[in-house]
Amino acid sequence: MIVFEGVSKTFAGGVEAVKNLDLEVREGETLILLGTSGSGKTTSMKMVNRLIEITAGRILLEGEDVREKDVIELRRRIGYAIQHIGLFPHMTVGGNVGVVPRLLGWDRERIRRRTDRLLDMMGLPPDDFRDRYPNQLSGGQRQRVGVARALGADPPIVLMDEPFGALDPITRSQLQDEFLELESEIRKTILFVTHDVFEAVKMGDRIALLDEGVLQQLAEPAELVEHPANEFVDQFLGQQRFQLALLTRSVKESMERREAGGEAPEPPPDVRLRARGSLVEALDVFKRTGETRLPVYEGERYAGTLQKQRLLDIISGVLGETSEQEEAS
Amino acid sequence: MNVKRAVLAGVIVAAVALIVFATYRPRVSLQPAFSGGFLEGPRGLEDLQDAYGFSFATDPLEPPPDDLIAAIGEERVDVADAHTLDPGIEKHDLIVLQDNKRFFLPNQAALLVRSGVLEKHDGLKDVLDDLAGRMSNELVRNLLLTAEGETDLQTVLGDLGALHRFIEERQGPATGNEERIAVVVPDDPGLRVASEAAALVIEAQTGLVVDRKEGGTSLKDGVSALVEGDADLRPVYIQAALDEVFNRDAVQGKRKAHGTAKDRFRKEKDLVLLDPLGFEAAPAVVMRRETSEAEAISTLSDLSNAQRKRLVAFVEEHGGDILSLTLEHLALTGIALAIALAVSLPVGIWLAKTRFEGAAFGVMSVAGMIQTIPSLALVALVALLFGLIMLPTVGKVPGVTALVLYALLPILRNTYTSIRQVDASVIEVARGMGMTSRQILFKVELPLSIPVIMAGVRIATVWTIGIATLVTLVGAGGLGDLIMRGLRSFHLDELAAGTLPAAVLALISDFALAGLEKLLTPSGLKEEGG
Repeated sequence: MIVFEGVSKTFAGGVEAVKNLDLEVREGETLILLGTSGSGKTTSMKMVNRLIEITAGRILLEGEDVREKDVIELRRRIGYAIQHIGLFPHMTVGGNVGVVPRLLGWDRERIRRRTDRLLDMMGLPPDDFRDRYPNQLSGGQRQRVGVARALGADPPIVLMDEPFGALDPITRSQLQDEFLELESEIRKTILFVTHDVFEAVKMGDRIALLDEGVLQQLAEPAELVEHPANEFVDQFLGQQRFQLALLTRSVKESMERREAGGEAPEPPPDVRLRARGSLVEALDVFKRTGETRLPVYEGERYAGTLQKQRLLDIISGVLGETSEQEEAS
Repeated sequence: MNVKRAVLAGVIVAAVALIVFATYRPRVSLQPAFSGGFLEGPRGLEDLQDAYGFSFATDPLEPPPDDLIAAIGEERVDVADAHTLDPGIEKHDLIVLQDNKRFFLPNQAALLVRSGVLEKHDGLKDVLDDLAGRMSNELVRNLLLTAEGETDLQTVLGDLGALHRFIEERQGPATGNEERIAVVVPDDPGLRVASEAAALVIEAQTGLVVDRKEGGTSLKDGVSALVEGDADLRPVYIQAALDEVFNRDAVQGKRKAHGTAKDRFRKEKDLVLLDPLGFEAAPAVVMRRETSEAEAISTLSDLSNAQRKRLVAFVEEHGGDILSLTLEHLALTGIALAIALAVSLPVGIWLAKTRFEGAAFGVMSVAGMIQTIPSLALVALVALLFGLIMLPTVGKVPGVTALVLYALLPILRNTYTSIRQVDASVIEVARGMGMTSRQILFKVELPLSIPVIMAGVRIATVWTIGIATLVTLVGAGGLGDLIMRGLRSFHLDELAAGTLPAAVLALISDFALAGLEKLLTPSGLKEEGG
């Protein structure tokens, strides 16, 4: 879908922000550009919609070089959300979400249907929010509107530059969960920039870790955490490695599948263990309930059971892995 | 409304109030005093004020001085009523205000003669007719003044030569013809003068011998004496005769009163009323000549105007001027602002967007420098520069140019800063979502900049309205014309008539633009938080 071929960017002052980047974002996946500030992750992303022009190499979008396309048309086909949100303060929520559809000349009714649907998807009841102005919203609500706006014209590709960066941890985590839920429905190709390794692991199908403009490792989250490609990746993960290891393993892959016709055990009414959740989540639920055995749900469906002992075994396994690595290094 | 604006509005209102207070006093401050009869009687002060549509700003002196005329002379009083024939008028160099609306009843003096006498003595009528219209109030007052202290009015008349011509042309009595004529000399001083004058003329120009008979005070008796042949000639006051002899109501109008009296004397009494002598016995309003000349008050209407509030009087008189100058002022300001807007809006936008960093600094410095030139000097400078490049140095063009130069900076600066201050992330998103530069400008940057740009326009407007009062110096017109005239002649009313509309114009424009600003400001920028 998006292919970086030997892409480099050298800024006017001679700073080389991106060096010879080769990368492919596959259709429908969420690829995370992870790195510290100055790693070239945002620059790489902005070269896709040509907010920053490439110095060398090329970026192909559905097989076409982005530089050969009309820049305005190109941008209107790519959703864009940034950390500072940048909602238009003089437009209503509806007006903000409908910006790109309006630029594309959609008719009024279609724009309305689209914005209402997006607001609904983002958990903002349209009748309540459509006519509000940004200064009447909370930070979390604004961020939701920002994301809804990026999806405005139903673009196949969405660029997101730390879209949840400006939020408090609780709201951020909530929005991440909601977005994951949404993402599983809409299946967009997403290029997602973050400096937060937990967010990367949580949100990404694959992670591209950049440092000083150079791609250090491109891998699925579990692979990245468990098999760092080089010393830099290892150091970047640092002490969070243990936690990340649990985070990359899902409950689903660790549970015992439900036998055919098996009934759900008496579930603790308020907390449910989700199949898609990570083992960190599982650990938390065990701690809160005090149970030794928990039913796992996939949506509303009972999917299997997770034994506390199994979880503890995995943890000690992870500990072993990580200590082995420490000895090796 | 914020505190700063409230304070500003307060200061302006106070200034306006001060000017109004200063100019809302009567144009001329006069101390009136009136005799008891004039204060209370019919056709007195109240009716006079009604007739001329004014009231004295200062209450009449209470109680009135015994000798009003002397009081005016001593400057204790400025205006008073008087008898038209009061010799004090001449003594104290007073003038009688012309009764241009004919409020006072005319009461002219004329000679009344038995018709038989005129028939009998050929040429007598011509001699007497010759006196008609020759005796003015002023002459009579002067004669009476000279006669004060002298006992013999006859001597005064002769010595004075007031009737010089008639006496000089004395033909001497016709010899041998000792015919006599009886002339009544009434008590009234004015009539007394008339009798003596008639007697002197008769003596000088006909052969008749004059018998002077003291006439007493009663007019009715006097007329009866003529009818019965006890006397031949006596002067009367026409209005008094109508009233006392014929019991008629007062007749307004000199000619009509005379005509009426003449008819009735002829028909009912067989007496001939000759043409009026020229003076009359009536009430009048007098002032010192000095005051009258200084304040240009020569009629009762002038007096009435002088008692109007300065500003009111001025506006009444020059309302049209003020209106047209105000419109001119508005036009000057409007044109200058339109040009300034047309220039500084695009330039401000360009400066905010250009990569050429020095440009903004340069242009702002120049505009700022212009602003530091005192407005008066700028107007002069523009005229000077226009002269150097052979453009007209006088008129609307240099005037408007100076105003435009002044209005540039606030609009330019506010446009530039407001566009620069638009949140960078908003612009980035707009670009990232595929807006063209044009769309970003018109859909994002300008709407977000409107409050600040409008604030600049408001500042420019208020300044321009103020400074537009100065372009009168290069002959561009406007309210400055009135202000300068007022300054030169030191007339506060003219000054106020120029300043007040300018101030009001500035206030109204500011409020109107504030309303426009509110209207144009996108709703999302108005509310604070949510």
